[in-house]
Amino acid sequence: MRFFKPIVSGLIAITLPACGGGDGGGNTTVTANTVSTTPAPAPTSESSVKVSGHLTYDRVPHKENSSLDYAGTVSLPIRGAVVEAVNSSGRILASSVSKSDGSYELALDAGVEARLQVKAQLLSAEAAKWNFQVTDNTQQNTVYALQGSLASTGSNTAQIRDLHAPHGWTGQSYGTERAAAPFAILDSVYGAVQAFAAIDPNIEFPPLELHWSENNITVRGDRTLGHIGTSFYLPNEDSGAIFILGQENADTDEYDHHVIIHEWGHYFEHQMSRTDSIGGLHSLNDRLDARVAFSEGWGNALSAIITGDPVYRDSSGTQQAAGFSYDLESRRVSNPGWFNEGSIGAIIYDIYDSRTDDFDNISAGLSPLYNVMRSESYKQSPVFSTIFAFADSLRSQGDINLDDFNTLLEGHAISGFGPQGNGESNNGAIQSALPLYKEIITNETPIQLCSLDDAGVFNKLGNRDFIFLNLPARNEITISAEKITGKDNRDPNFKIWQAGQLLHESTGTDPDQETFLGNLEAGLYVIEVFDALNVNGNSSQRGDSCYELSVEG
Amino acid sequence: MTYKTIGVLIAGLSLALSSYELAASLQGHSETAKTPHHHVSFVKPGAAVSLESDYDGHTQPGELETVTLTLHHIYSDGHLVANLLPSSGLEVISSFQQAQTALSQGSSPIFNVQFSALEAGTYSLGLEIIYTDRMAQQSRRTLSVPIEVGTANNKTADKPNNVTPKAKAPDGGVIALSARETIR
Repeated sequence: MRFFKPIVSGLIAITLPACGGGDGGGNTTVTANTVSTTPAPAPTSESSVKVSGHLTYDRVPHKENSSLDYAGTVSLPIRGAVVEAVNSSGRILASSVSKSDGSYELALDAGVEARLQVKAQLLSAEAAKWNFQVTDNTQQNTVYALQGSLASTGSNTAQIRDLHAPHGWTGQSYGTERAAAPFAILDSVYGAVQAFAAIDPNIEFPPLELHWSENNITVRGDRTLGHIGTSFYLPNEDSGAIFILGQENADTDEYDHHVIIHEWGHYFEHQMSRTDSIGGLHSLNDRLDARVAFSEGWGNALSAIITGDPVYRDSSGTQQAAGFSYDLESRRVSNPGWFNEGSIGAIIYDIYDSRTDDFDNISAGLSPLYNVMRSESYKQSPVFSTIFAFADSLRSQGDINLDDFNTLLEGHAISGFGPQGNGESNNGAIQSALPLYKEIITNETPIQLCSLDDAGVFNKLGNRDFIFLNLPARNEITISAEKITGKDNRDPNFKIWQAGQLLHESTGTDPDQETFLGNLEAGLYVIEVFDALNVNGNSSQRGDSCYELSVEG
Repeated sequence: MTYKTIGVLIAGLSLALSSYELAASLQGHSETAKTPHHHVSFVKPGAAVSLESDYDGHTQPGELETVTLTLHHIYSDGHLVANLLPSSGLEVISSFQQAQTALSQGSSPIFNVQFSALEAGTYSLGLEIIYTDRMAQQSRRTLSVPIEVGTANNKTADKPNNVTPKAKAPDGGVIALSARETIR
């Protein structure tokens, strides 16, 4: 087999094997700002050296108690990563992408001083496209790269260079560099990317940076200092980023692949599907806002699907010797229902998995889940992204047996149907939580609704009400909320949504009332009503209050 | 409310008696207390707790600092264990190492902690929270307060939490990690 070396002129040229992390085919030339596919060129020199080898990293597994098991460390291939040969000044001489077994090949001139460098970057410019990088938010979002030594390619026709990224644990602490961490994160993403690319060979993932640093600590504040608080996905208007903890003796997440994929799941739904979740703190058995419950349940299920392990694990503590776990198959769910991420995670995982039980007779794999999440009907639905909207889209696809699906939902105390969850009877012990969507008609009788803190605040069940407003024609309308029960000086607020797009916010601070006056086009809207003190208030301000909502125009 | 502490009290009993209070409300809440943190991004699963402190953001080397940590939660039952996790170099002079309490709706456990550090620098005072619900399902979350010692004008604790990360380095460089390499 012969190899080529790229001709570098002007812009940096990088050659990638086809399939972006795959195992063969033509080559792709990547310039600084462009990507184009070209046939594999012939080598330009008879004195080419085939530099090849294997790239590996330390994967630290979990013990049964979900702590990190350094003694059980295994060496795994660095898959799908950008591999480069650079000279002493950092100029890229050749580049490729490692294969699924961690192997790579580069063609270089003989007798050239070159350093092998593996970027913490998954890159594909083929039919399926992606660009995922692990970068350091405390160092100007610079990408990590595993580097070997500057050494001659020699005079033989072939040279083997193997690189390994060690975890850096020296028995009691991270005594040396934590080189494996970025590649552990990258490998979790690789698994997710490959799973979806297998379903959709033409999938295009928007670029994503996963910010990790050993300075990423549990303090909240300036993220450029590493004060990220916890691991999270940060949605921006048209992009996003994942921040990952690296604080030794407190909370590190680089080896917690369920955590990584859970957050990647938020990226997926935000940038490739739809999410109306408002985020926020959540636990596996909380009674949550329906939008949050679905989003978090999706993340939990996806982490189980991609890892092949339904036991979600998150390590933490001194020497990473503690942790917690949650088995999606255990059915140990407090407060099951449409508002519980534990229920929703189990439902989605049960649709996927091949195991069956009394409630789960579905083994449909990932495709139906992907098809729903990517469908325009789901993404453009006038209702929010909840388990009801998801279930309605899944039913309409016809990929699964409806009786089996209904049984699965009923096993988690979910009986509502249609995208709005009509007929649902499980209110999570919060009476005002049902129906999930109420309806108001212009100039007709006001409706009563409540904002309660019984399940907590900000993103919990009962904090917010959703009300349909259907306008047959463009109209100037007045929406008013006036308190009818509750403590003094409550702060009702509105948000007006259409098909998941926030159109207006009405956040006045007048006590016990709120008014919106404006023009709305004909169409179906969802008005979200909540007491701001159950969202941003302190402990002494939270409480229950009910309102009368009217629309005039 | 019943409470107990497990751990080593380093300093005198008089200090220790007030150092590990768990209260059922925000009584004693300082006027300088900051707004509770609300995570508005998509955070990882874990205990639904947030931390509020009255730390003023600066401490001198050797100074004995007292802070009140108030824990907010959403739970109406179950119990909570809090492990103190000070960063290396931050000496907790009078406090618990571990405390636990039963939870009720609206309760806000309060932890009084005293600390000092001999060396100037940035530290963190962490609480590892372990919540166990009535089905014995456990979840955790670690929350920390930044501690600035000897850098009075650098109030890290007051920095906003929505700072956009800096732009990428213009030279397209990398952060080099040393590999274990075999060449043959």
